[in-house]
Amino acid sequence: MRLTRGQKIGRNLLLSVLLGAVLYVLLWFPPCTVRGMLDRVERQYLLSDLEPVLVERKSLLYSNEWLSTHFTYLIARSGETYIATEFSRHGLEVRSEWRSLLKMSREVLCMGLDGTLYVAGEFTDAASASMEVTAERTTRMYDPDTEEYNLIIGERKTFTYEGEKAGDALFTFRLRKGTGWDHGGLEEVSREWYSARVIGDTTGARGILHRDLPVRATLYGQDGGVLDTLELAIDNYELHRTW
Amino acid sequence: MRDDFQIWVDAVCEQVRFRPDRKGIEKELRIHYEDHCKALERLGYEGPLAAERSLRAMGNAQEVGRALDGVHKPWLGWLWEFSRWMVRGLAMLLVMTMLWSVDWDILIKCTRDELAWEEPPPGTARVELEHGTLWAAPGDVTQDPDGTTVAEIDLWLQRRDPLGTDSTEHYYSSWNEFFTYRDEQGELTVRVVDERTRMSARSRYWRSKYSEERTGWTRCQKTVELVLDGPPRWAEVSYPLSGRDWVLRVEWEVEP
Repeated sequence: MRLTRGQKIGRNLLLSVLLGAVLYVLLWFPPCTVRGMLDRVERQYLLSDLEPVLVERKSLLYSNEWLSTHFTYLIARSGETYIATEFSRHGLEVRSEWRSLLKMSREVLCMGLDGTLYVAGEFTDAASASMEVTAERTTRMYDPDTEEYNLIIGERKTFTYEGEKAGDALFTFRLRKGTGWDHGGLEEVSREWYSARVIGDTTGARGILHRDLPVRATLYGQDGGVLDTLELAIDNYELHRTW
Repeated sequence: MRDDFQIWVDAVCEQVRFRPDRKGIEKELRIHYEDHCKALERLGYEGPLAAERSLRAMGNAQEVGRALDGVHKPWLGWLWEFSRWMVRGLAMLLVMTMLWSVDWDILIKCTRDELAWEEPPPGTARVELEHGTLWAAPGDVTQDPDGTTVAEIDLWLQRRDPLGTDSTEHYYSSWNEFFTYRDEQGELTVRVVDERTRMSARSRYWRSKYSEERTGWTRCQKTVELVLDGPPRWAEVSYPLSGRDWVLRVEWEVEP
């Protein structure tokens, strides 16, 4: 049977829909928009009505690849619940939580990314904010003989930052003055002060320990008076991650 | 030098606005023309005369061209070209995806887990959520050598659509990550590790039993272990962070 051109177009379009659907399934229904990503989170974590508070995008080209990887970092809220998560897209493939797991908390949430600490919450009445992050030199020594771990706590340093309001639900705190890490700054300290070592190891190898650093955010009203003080915590890895 | 037919067919094709079709039209007209020539030659016409008569029979080049242009509409032609390239492009993308991007092990496991779904027993506590239905039932209660009691809670989740699943979930299935578990003594924590020994610090925590996990496209099953000081009578599963106030209560039969 010879098909007319119109019939061939119809057949091709039908075939395209079919191929597209197979591709969509094989790629695990990749979400392309922020709304799509939030829908994915809602379904995955059984949440509803998430609305974005922060959307940060970054692209990175690995030296061994010819396609960039595009990261989307999100903070979103639903009522009093806040989540922070990330999606990465490489070609048509979209992955969630590939580098860091989703965080979820009630009333307030903080996330660190590329020299900025974001604090999300209900900040309608707050005009300004300041933040203190306390770092403590921590080394975990592993003794292969006893198979025990010993925690050595050293000096302590508190870093203070002024926040910038970025909407009714977000304050941003810039951790660095310029574009790179400040010498002795929080980013450097969060990486260099947290170590895991093995007793007797002569290679000098060091693992970077995961620790929650205490964060105290103070909110001020229009008149400069203190509205509220929030006690939070942030993983040191978030403080020194650049993407 | 172009022969007479070539001049005629060029004049025809010039009338056809959809250029990609011109070659095909020329080929088809040439076949007609040559067939006609051969037929006349079989009837005894000399070659040049047969060619002349055949060309005349082909008609007026302008009229034939205009008629063919009406059939070979440019928009239809371009749409057809587009649809062909779209099919080729998608087929190529599909092959590349299947070769490089698809983790077939996970895909097969996901499908197998979907098919291995076992319905929750009748009477199991359940809650209807926006994106699926969740069930919780009491599982085995065992005694660990260190004296702690491990009480299992079996969870089932049937999603309304497969859009909530992705490949990452098969490395780290997380839908119950932020659930809260409590028994008659209060709320349980997530497993806490002692800084010195790297062992679980105490009882009264919960952990996922990964060996029992099934994560299908829409149907998921997992078992959560509550590590307690003694056998529980009941436990409650809830999810306050979701902003919904549902509670699933499971009860274990107490031996007389």
